[in-house]
Amino acid sequence: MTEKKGPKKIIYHCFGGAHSSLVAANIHVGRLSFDRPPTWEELMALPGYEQRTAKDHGHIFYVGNDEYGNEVYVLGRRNYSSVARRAIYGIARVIGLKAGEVVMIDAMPCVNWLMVIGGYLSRRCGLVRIGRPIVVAGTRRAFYYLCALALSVKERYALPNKETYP
Amino acid sequence: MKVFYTCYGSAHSSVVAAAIHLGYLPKERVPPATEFLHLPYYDRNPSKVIGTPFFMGADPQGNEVYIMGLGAEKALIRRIVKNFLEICGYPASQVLFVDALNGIPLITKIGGILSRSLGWVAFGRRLTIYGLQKHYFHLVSLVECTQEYLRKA
Repeated sequence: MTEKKGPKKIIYHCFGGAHSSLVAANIHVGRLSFDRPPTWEELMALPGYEQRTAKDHGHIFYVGNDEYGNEVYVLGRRNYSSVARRAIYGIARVIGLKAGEVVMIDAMPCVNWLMVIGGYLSRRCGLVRIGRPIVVAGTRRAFYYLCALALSVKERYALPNKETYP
Repeated sequence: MKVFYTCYGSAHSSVVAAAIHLGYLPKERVPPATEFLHLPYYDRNPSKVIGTPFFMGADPQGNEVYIMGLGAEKALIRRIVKNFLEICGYPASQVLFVDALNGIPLITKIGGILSRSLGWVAFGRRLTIYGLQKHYFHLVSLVECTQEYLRKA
């Protein structure tokens, strides 16, 4: 199958859609600079960061457009990454989207144990005072991994719009 | 209209419901085991295709009938699909999800686990068919409700 040229929908997904995928998506759309880890204030200023709870799982949130016209979204899919991926790709095929028009990127490989524990305490148990500093420290520590993910995705899906692409 | 019959693994109850909808199985009598075994996808889909929609056929009104496994978190996956259709600008009124797993007897679920997860196909398949034969007219009424809804819509 040939990949469709032109704008795509890029969906970053992780467990809750509150931390790792959101930061990766914001790096992708250029809302976070990627030369240094973001400060507490910069992270808290991201719409949705540390705000989504269990009832938001399964909702696809729009983050922004990158400079190539791709639409970037965030999804929280609990531990059902492969089921969600197959469901979205399958439905895309059923409703007549072309192959490659939707791309799902798993942000979980960038997640470290600080983010897991902090996210669990803050989002699941509601212990925001304890969990938030831990998850922010974890996000700062995972930042360059998330940068590498987002920038490689951006570069890969920027290519088909260029004239040199076969 | 696209109709999705959903169950856990798109292997048993959704296949039978879609087959009743499309007329592959009769509505007035309980079919014997051979008719179940000759259905496309019946007890065929492995666990690693859960989530993928499969096309079963189109009914005379032109509605496309699909089967789809939603796994353990059916509400979550359904919400993801609804949201995805929304961001694609596809009208939600053109898609109907019908839960064929509702009220399925325990023996079919046990048979499904034996056959699909544990690989004991010969025995598990027989159990699923036995349970679905017991449950058959519930599925027929589910399909009739769906068809009634589709006629009105």
